[in-house]
Amino acid sequence: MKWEKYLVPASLDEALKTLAEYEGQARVIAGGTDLVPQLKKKERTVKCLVDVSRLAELKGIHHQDGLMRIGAGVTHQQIAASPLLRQTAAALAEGAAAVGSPQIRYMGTIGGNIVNAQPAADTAIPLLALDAEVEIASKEGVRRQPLEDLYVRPGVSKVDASAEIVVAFRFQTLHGKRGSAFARLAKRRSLSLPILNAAAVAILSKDGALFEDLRLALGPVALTPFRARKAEEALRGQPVDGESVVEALVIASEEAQPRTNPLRGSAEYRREMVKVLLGRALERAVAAAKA
Amino acid sequence: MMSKEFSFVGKRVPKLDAPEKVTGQIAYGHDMKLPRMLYGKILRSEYAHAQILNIDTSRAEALPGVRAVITAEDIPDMRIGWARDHPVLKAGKVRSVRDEIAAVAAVDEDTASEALELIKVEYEELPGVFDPEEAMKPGAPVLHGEAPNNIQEKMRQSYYHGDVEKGFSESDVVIEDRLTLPFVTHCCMGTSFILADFSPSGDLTVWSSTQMPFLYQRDLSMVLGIPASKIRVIKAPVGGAFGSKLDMYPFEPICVLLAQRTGCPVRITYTREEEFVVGPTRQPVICDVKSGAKGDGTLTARQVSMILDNGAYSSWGATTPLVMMQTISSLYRVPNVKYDVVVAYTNNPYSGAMRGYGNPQATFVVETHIDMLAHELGMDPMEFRLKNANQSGDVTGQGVKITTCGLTECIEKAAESVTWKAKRAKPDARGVGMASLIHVGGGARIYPSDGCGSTVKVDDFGKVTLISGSTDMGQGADTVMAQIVAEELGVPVANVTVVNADTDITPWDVGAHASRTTFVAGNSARLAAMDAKSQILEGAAENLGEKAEDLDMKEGKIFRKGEPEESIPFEKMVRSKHFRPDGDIVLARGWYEPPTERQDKEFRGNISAAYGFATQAVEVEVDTQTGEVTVLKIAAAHDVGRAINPMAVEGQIHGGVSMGLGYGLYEELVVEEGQVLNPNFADYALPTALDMPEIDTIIVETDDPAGPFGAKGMAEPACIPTAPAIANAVYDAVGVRIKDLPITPEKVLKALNQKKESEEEK
Amino acid sequence: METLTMRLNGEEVTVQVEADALLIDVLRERLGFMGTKEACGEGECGACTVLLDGRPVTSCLVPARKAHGREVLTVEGLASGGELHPLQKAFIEHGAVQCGYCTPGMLMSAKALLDRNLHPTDEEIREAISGNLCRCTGYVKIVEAIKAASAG
Ligand SMILES: Cc1cc2nc3c(=O)[nH]c(=O)nc-3n(C[C@H](O)[C@H](O)[C@H](O)COP(=O)(O)OP(=O)(O)OC[C@H]3O[C@@H](n4cnc5c(N)ncnc54)[C@H](O)[C@@H]3O)c2cc1C
Ligand code: FES
Ligand code: FES
Repeated sequence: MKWEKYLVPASLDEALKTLAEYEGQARVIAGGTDLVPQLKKKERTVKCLVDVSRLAELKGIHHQDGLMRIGAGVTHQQIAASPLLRQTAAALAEGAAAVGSPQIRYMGTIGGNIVNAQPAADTAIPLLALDAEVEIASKEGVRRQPLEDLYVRPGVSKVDASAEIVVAFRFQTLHGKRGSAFARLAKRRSLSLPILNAAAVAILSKDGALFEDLRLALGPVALTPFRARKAEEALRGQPVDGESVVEALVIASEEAQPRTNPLRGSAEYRREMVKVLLGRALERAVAAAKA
Repeated sequence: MMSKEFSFVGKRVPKLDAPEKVTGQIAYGHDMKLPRMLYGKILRSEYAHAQILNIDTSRAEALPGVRAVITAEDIPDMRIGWARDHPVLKAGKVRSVRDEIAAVAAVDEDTASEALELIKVEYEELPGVFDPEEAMKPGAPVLHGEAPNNIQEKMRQSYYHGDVEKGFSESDVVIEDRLTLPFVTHCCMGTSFILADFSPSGDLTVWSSTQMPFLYQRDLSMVLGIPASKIRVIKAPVGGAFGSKLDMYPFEPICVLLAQRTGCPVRITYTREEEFVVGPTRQPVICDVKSGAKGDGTLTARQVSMILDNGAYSSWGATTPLVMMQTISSLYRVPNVKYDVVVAYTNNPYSGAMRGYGNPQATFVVETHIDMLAHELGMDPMEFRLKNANQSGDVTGQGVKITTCGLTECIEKAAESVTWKAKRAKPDARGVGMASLIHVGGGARIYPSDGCGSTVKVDDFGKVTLISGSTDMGQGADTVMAQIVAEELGVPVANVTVVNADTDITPWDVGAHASRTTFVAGNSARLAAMDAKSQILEGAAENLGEKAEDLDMKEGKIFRKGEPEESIPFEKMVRSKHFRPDGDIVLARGWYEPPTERQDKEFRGNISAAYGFATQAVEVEVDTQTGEVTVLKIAAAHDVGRAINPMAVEGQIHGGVSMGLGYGLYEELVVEEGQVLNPNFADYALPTALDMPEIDTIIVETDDPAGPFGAKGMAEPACIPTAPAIANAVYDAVGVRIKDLPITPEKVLKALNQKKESEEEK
Repeated sequence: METLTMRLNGEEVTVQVEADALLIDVLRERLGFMGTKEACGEGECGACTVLLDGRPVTSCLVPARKAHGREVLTVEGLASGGELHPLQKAFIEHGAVQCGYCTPGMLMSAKALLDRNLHPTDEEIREAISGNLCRCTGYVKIVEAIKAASAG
């Protein structure tokens, strides 16, 4: 017996109530692409699953006043196919397009990808670079929290999926002299977890010559999705091409702490690749910002 | 070559079983159920090497729904495998994590799994040995008492022809290297299965995924002590085999024992994890190779010394050196060859037969060195290959009699397809590489008989049934057999049904291995069809008052030779032969035994009636920043004798190439301290549709006189030269030589960095 | 036990299922639709692909209750009125089937593609079946067959 009850609430309120009734013995399920394998392998046990994948409150990709709001129940497929996101948050659309396989993208949601808390989750890295904020609903109401503060360690986030529900992600859209991009290295072109992934957001000066600001994210180079803050610092106010970029990439590769994984590559290789992938993401982000 | 006029040979006939497969109607072993059927599951070792102190099955036995729990204590000491070194259930000691300790039969799979969790085993862990070189050193942990140093005498072999020392001394260039090859595995999409059922009178029927029903019947009988005459083996539809189902493994007698104990049919199907960990692998190889050539490009000598990781027990893996030997002795003309091999036990999962049977490893070694020699000599690697290519009529130093050989044409056509001359040795990060192969194409005599029997029966309505000893594993053998019978007999393919893989019904055959089915079973079917035809024509001649030799039959019609306009439907003649005083039915037979010999003690002899050749040329692009290799195109030119079904031949080539590409770039079963770290499709990376490049299949026909309509075996070869061709292309692209598969980005980048460093030093 | 009502291959079906049943088990074990294959059970091979409201999903990861009130299409539902689906015909004629174990899942992924894109490029076809592993064919003839079944 993997679980004893499977409930499909009709509203967010009902879902929260149901979770409360089970007092920690129930858990949110969205696409199930992470949770079902974990339950099958008995890495987790629950009494009841509360399916949020069809809640209207968790749907939709909306844009208002420079703010993007993506429901936590939106699937990777929907993100990858959204012209709006392709245009204003390309890194995220590219990250979502890289997840698993078509089937997994049709099933898996962005909310599940974040709460599952893998340090190289393919939407977490771009969302981190986009400086996203998370809306979390609980019995007590809705709270907002920067995405970055959500992580504890691999597989563990601060969202208690037995009581709380992530409703949406919000971030500033990239318009004007802003651009973003995502880069990824994997064993093969489909169905494989990243050896390394990287996302960059570039915010350029009016003439497009300098980095007014930038945000760089990487995985898996730490216990949680990682912001390369020292590299960002080094580049802020610097020209978009030339030595400073090369130096910043070296800094990023030094602040990153990748580990050796017998299946996905050595620490040294991954460290080396930080420079390459981040460099590529940054270059494309700059090109997008200039366009 | 003159193209003969055929009605069905050479035609793209769709697979006979395809309609059943596209509708989901076909029942694979996994879909089969019998009334009262129980589900079997096996408890395996937690340790790679350990003493079993105690096994407590009492809680499992008490679980409702459990019908039987067995351990080694409950059965006689049974040993299986090529070296009879493999106990079916382990007592005393476990030697790898795949080891079977106990088995359960229960009413459903969940109950069986739960029961396994309730079995308590106490172990005392023993030091293990996981590297075959370490295993042979004095003082290494010993796996089998009868094999000190972890080697059995018959697992050490040496071959030579000519004199390599002399050869090297006459060479202008000599190179030496160490190459290593990893564990890889078949990854059949359908896992292994068996369903065993006893009749009330004690007759055993098994539905199995085996590739060799008759040897399997013999093996089951031997290990279980049940007379073979009371065992019926039916090969059920399988989801791929690729050699993995060539042996009998412990789960199979275990399943029969569970059926015996419970009096119920029992089915065992492997989980994906079991398929990865428990199923056999291709042998990892550590290889030292030395090659020499003269300044003009003539090969002089080749010396190869290999150490194979056998794993903890022996399956056919231990015999793959026999196939490796053929490539080492006979791929390209080499006057002096020496080959030494030793197969050592380790506490790793064990190795078995896998598509190519040692040849992918041997070809990687030989073709890497051929390429390196060419560069050393400053020759175009293609020209170097052409210069040393085998030719029709050659008898190699090992006694391999090459009757037909399309190697030169394969090299030329593959090169042309990738515009070799234009693309080679260019300064960009793109490159081309090639590799060739030799493989048995007319059976392989490794058993006293390499034959196959067939029966052809023609009924009163013109339905032709071929009852063939052959085994179709999804490769399409049935369709090819039907085409051969239709062609020879002169009836439409649609009239022909093929029945096979049931030891109660079909005549004997040694099994689906060594790319032998089209050749051996095809010849056998053809003989039976010829017999049927003469029976029909004789009947018709009597009926019509003609001479049989003046009549012929085509597309189901009988006519006077040269006068096809005036004809009679053949089924009418079959009926008239049947329904008359002293009538007879049409029931024909064919037995084909290839004209080959077993090797002598020095491993010389012509074990196959024909040999297949091929060359694959690939174009790659290397990302010099990440080390990623992208294969842009693969041209695969294969000498198949004749393509009886070009669509099936292409299908074999495409599938083989993707397996070879996986071997070259992605695949490795990562085994650390005897534990398999990636027993799943996420971490063991098969190529996906997005990873496959354009494949140009080039069929070279050499019309082999011994083959059915000229055909030679071709199924294994497709996966053999791909990996070395890719490695050679990577060298052409960026000048680094990867001597250790798979060619991961990390290895390429490391090599590129080393190359840069050494260039800077200069 | 929970009640599951779905439109399976065009017909309404109601079954009682264990709360933790997965869609693949309901299809295969409860309803006898054995065409859907399980080759990994972890979402990593696509053999178990079915269409849920027209979208390709790996049924080995889908809790059966997710199908409640929805449409499920399996390989058994592709042919209609005794006529094979054009994809099925193309798979047969182009030699896209060898052992056939991946075939049902491939067909479903291909159908999902053609339902939203009548004129896929080769690259789009490869992309659409990139979650379906095949060990026999190297995918070449599968891509050819899907192309042939598309509107060109
Ligand atoms: C074959 C395969 C390949 C994959 N490849 C990739 C890949 O390449 N890259 C990648 O990043 N991931 C990959 N994944 C992982 C997975 O698909 C993603 O993480 C996916 O986004 C998870 O979303 P889901 O909706 O399926 O989550 P679920 O499995 O439903 O849930 C995951 C976790 O999040 C919780 N949760 C879900 N939604 C909410 C919510 N709204 N509020 C609170 N808690 C919630 C659940 O309780 C659970 O703990 C792969 C998975 C598979 C099976
Ligand atoms: S069986 Fe479901 S994806 Fe493999
Ligand atoms: S046809 Fe065998 S796995 Fe695809």
